[in-house]
Amino acid sequence: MTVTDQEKKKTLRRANRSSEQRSKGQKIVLWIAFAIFTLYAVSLLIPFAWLLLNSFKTRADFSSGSVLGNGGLSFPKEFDWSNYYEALIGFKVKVGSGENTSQVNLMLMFLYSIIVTVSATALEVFFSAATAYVLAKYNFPGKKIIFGMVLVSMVVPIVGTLPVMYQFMGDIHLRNTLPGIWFIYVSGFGFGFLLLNGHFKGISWTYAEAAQLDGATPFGIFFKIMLPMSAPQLVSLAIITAIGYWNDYATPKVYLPSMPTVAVGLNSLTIEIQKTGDYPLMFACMIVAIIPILVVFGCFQKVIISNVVAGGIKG
Amino acid sequence: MKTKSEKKKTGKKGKYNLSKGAIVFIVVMLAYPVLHFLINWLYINSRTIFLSFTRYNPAVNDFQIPNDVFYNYKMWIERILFEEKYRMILVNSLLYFPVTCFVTLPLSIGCSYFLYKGVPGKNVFKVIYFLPSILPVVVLTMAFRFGFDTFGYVNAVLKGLGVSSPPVWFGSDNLTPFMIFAYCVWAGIGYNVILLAGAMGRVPTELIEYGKLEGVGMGREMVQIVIPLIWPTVVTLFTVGMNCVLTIYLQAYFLMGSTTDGNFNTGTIALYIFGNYSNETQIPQLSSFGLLCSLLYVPIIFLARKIMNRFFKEVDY
Repeated sequence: MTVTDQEKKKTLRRANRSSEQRSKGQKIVLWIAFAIFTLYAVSLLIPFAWLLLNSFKTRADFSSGSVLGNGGLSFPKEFDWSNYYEALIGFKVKVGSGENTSQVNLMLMFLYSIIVTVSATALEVFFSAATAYVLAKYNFPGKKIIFGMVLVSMVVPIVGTLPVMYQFMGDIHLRNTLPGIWFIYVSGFGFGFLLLNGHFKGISWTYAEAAQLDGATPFGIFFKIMLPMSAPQLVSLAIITAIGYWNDYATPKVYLPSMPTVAVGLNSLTIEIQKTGDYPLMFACMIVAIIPILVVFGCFQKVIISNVVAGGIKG
Repeated sequence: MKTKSEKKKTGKKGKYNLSKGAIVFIVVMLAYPVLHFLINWLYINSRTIFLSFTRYNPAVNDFQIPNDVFYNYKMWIERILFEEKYRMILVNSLLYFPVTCFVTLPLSIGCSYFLYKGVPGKNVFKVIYFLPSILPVVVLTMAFRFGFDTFGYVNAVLKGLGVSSPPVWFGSDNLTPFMIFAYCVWAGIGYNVILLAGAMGRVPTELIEYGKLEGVGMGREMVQIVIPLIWPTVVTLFTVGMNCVLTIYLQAYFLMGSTTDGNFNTGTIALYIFGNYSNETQIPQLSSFGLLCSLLYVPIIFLARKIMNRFFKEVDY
């Protein structure tokens, strides 16, 4: 062991001792911070606890004078699950106009959300991987221009293009179609590109060379070697992308009105239910709508947070 | 893949040395992303710029360039200067800058520092703070708003404290904009905290420990050691916060009951465009409005970023 190493260790030991002996002042500051953090955390949770509590009430129970008195903080007189049945299947909203009008319930909205989210996520992850892989592993004319396109599309914000895009999508008959929404969502040049480009750069090319000797084509190398090797990164990207699409309101609202996803349909549902004054039903709809996201978050919490951190730091 | 010496040998002509199969692969794989960029970015932006100089002519049902090419731009400048409605839209949008950059961001830095310093239960807090980032905005805004409704728990608490007639939180010119700002801070801190705490987690512990030996307290440690080291992340969040001026609309839209009218001084630039996008005759006006705001504001974003990057030198660690 060198002298400097020993010195470093000594210094760290002394420092550790000093950190163990955190001053009283620092301890107090940390506990004050804990109290403030707890208040903030409670403020984030209370609205949902309140929605949950009131979603089990009957309309009469919620409309009773006690709600105005206690802000709905009382327990339901009896737990009424019918709001959840009504939220999922019973209550419907009209979508479309003229002959194309149809009735949609939350269950169907879930189905639409799944169709849009799964298909768009699969395409976005594939094209992000394809773009990232080609730019990471091949040298070809125009490569810098394509890198420039990636940067420009991410960095230069231009506001006011929505009406033009809306008109364009109508002109090419992609408005209100599934391929239309894929076209809006899937670019291959976004956050996924950044995440995967660095990953593919780090993969050794010797795997590809070995496969080439066995007669593998570039397509074979990409699909049979590189993509399977990148499975964890692709899954992480898919989760993050899927959450974004699932929660997105504006894009499906503008470009796919006949297939309202949960985010879009929930807004229509709440507007309709508000007219009837059946607030417990509305709260049940909101609770049902967030359950899938909470389940996904519960299962992949670390992956989601670490990818957001990675994306943010790189950004 | 070629080594550097191999590349030198092949010279300019054989610089890329791509097989036919590789060329086909590259073309096939990049065809869609490049086409998408050309249409979705280049064409749409170019057409937006072009149409911003036109006016809709109902007689021919098309857009035509008027004699005064800058008609739309002049109209918007006049509207912003002399019409209360549009001035409010601009002022409201601009107010999101201090809210996100000088309220949410400093609060987030403070929160993430204490999480980094090991507040008891820090992992639980991180998960809870991240929740607003994964929930649909429509649910989050509704959940926030109902708490402040006449039947909500906030008014009940206030009544319990002796406030006989609590204010109308969402429905007055004075209070409603501040409620929307309050929502943005409430919902926005968590995402920033996760990013900043992640950046702080990469700060070398040796530096912190040496600081401690020198008797550096928590305040100095945060300001003089931690913040300079995570400065690139702070600058990124600051820039994103500045962008809100041009892009924010869903919060006001949902909190005001899905209206795009901008009632009670809640209108923003993006909300105005979102509220009128489907009226094709309005395209020149909306395009010019968006472009005018971008032209005036985007350089300020880049300038701010440039100035902020000068505060602290980026170091690798």
